[in-house]
Amino acid sequence: MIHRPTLLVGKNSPATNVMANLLHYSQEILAVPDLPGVEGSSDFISCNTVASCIARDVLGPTHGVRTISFSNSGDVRRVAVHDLCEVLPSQLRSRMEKIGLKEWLDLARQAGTGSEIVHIFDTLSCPTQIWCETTPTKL
Amino acid sequence: MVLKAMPITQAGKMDRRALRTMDIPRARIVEVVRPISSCKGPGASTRGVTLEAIEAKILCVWKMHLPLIANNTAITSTSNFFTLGGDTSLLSQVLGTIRRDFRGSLMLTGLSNNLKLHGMTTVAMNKYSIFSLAGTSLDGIAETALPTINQKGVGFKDVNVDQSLIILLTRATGYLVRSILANSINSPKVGLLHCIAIRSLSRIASHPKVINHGGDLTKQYFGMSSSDWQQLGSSVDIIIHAAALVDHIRPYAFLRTANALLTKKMIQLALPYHILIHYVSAAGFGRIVGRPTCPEMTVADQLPPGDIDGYTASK
Repeated sequence: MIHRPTLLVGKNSPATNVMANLLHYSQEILAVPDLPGVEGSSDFISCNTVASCIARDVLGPTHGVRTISFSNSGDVRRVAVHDLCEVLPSQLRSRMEKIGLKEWLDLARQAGTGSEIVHIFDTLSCPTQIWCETTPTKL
Repeated sequence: MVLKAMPITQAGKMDRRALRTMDIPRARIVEVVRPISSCKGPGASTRGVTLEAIEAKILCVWKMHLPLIANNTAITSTSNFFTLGGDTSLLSQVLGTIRRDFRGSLMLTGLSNNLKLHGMTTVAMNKYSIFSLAGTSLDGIAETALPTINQKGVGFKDVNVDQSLIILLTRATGYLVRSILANSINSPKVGLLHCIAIRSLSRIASHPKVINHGGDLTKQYFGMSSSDWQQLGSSVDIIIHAAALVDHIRPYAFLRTANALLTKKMIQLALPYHILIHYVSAAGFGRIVGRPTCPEMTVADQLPPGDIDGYTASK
């Protein structure tokens, strides 16, 4: 069986995880970047929900299983890229402002984000399509 | 111009005739400048050895950021930045220097897909980012071909509903697998869990149902001996394979062993015994199928496009 969760975001996410950096530094600097060239949305789902679905499939009846099956984890809470602040804790949302990507990157850099992630964010200044990826999150 | 895929003949070879007759609008043709040492020709025998002027300049950039290694190693045009000890942080610093001295619009992905000296020189010299150069395109059919199975099959391993299961888990220290463990370990159906490829055994909590095996994703059999590996194959009922190097910067070539080849190794272990595998892939495939959401179906006929990140391609 092939399970398709997406990028995991949480406290110990690797430094090269773009979504984790976006959410973490948006909370740190109380601002989300304006990404006019980026279209699309992401699905957010808790890590535990994905894990319990996989555990259920693993421990479920497997007698006679002879074919490949697929399980996508997502579609629980779809958030457009331009509304990413919606996935941040509610007490932060009302204080969030949307600022230009360059300004956001300058502030994120001051707050400690690595230069490689800043360079990756550079690509978001070009027209980019983000397909719906489910993002189990522990935020 | 950059093609999404090369036309191929029925025999699976590149269709040169179709290429020649292809109608390509002039406006879409991009002039590509490549270092002389990376081109075939009269000097092909010296390829990789003789550096031309701009390659030498890029090498100076490498030496600036990798002084201890680059100054003491014979570097050729085919030397690889990561193999020499570079990492994504250093690559980012190299990008800063190349942007300042060569091409201000260069992106990190342009460098990470062209890690050899001549490839990095190519992207530094060109106005456009060219992901498909420098050997980054991959033969999807060969890469996804099933491994050869030497052992004779021993028949299907039907798992009885009341049976106590022996489960093999990879990457038990990752978020998701830790959570899968927490969701399943107390089930009476779980008899024993073998957690393999554990880098630091001291960091993992012990449990009467769990046997931890030290190991590494970069080694054959996940760092286990061949006999221990085969022994596991003959005893486990179910495999949960989630281990992978998660890195959205490094190219496919660097993630291939851990993410693609070890998955094949897992299939090789499971096939003779018909062990059920639960493979944790990635939903990033939505980009390949070109739909807003990735359908719950195979994407085997959709080979990764050249501009997809190495991690998603490897999954």
